[in-house]
Amino acid sequence: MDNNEEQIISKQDVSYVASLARLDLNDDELESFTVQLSAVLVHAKDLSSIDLSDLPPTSHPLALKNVFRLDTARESISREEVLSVAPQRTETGFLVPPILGED
Amino acid sequence: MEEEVYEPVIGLEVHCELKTITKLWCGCKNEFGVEPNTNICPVCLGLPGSLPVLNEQAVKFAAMIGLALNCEVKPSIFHRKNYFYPDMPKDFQISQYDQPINVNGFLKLDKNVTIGVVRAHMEEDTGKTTHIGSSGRIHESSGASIDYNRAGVPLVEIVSAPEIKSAEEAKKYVSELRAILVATNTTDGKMEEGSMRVDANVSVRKIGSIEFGTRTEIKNLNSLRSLVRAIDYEISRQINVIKNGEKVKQETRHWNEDASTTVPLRSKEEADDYRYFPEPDLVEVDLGNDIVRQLKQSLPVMPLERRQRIIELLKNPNEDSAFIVVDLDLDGLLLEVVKQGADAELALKRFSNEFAGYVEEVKALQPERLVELLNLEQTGQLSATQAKAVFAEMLTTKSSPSQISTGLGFGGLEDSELSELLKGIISNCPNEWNRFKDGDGKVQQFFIGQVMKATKGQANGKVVLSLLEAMKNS
Ligand SMILES: [Zn+2]
Repeated sequence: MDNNEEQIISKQDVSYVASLARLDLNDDELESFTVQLSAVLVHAKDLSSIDLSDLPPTSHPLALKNVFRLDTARESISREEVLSVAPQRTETGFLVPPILGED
Repeated sequence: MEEEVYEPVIGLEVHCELKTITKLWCGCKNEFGVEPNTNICPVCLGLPGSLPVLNEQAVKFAAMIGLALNCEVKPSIFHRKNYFYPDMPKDFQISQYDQPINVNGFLKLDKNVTIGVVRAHMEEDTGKTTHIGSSGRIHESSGASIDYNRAGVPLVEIVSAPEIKSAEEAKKYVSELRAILVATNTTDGKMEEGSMRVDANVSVRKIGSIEFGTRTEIKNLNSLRSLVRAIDYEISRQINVIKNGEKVKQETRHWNEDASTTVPLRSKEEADDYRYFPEPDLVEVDLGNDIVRQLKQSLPVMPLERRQRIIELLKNPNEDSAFIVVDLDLDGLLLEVVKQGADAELALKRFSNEFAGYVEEVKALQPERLVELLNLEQTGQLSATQAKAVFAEMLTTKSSPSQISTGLGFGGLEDSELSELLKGIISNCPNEWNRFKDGDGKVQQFFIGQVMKATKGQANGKVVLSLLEAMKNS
């Protein structure tokens, strides 16, 4: 952190984002990532210094729209081939652990 | 009634699967009821390196739904909705967020009631999860088996404004919406197969209050019946919570049909934070005015208007029967037979009952034949029972109704024969006859029954009754 120590997100923010991403961070890691993420955000914030009020918002870097395909079917892949590499399977499906929040 | 102090506020989210041939992002077939995991590929399995390519037909169907619901069709983009749940193998669902394809529409329930449609956006369906109990085949662990055939099937989610005022009105909204969607031929609207799924947002507030109460979202509403029962249950549950001095908790609840209750789903950890961000693998969709105009012109006449065309013909409007006839797509034929001289009231009655069980067969009949049948009944030449028997024959033979009727021995009894028969019955049953003459309406069935017995059901009840009346007055 050579420029400044400005932290525009808190350790709580980082902890929350980590939990959403199912990352189990210890306190040292939280500390370190808070500093690093802040630096990234401060860098991105530089953009706010440019006046872009005349430009329409961009949703995509490519100046493309309406990339479509026709509604025609093609062969799917073999179930056996896919299931054989699944971590766990049933006869016809992917087996997953009991799902939290459901009975 | 203290209950009357509160009023419910209901909003509905309806998901419908589009009737495309293939999925939304890949060329796997969009099929219901096939072997699990047979319509899968790297795209809909979310394998690394695979990329989605948007199905043009799905976009057109979505726009048609929006247009049928009086929405503005706008340029739109897709977002990723992030969550960890094995029904989405990518760990996100591609949906539309702040720039949906359709906004600001409405749905008319009848002449007086209109419900706002906030938006109707596109998204992909998820895989199907089947829970495996610990007593199931998989003995080492209970878990869930996932079928990804449905993952990536195109959906449109239609979000109503919170303007629905009762469970019955919610039912009416869903019925009307379903009728519209089916008419546009964009979806098959089968709630029982899950191609149309409804979530209800329910809250209650004191009458006169402008602010909304805290709402709950009810899931697992698999039929119109569950919809009505679940909403009614939830309204009274919330009123009770408030009356007990407690607060309604904002949560998702699951309708349990067997127990007839809603139960809270254990809240998934911070499940409400989906961290939407624009899907970088897809670009903007903008159908443009010309295509939108073409799609609008391609829309059929909407069910409400079709029902109206029937109702206009009637002396006594019967909305329910008209609904059935339009729902079965028999209204065109009904209008034709009325135009050719059949009585509208009788035609509607038969179309919505007897004919309703044989839609395809009835459509294959010449309208003239139906007109003839209805006229035979209308003029009393056939009783209702006889007309039904003739109708049944018409489905399997090419003969005309009058030929069939003669063949079955119907209509062979002249009034004079019936009169003679009646005179005999009357002289054998003087007591009943006296009661009839004294105005005891119940005895008329007795006489009709006697005549039917003597004629083996070939007499026309209406004719018998008019003969009886004539004899009484003579
Ligand atoms: Zn696929």
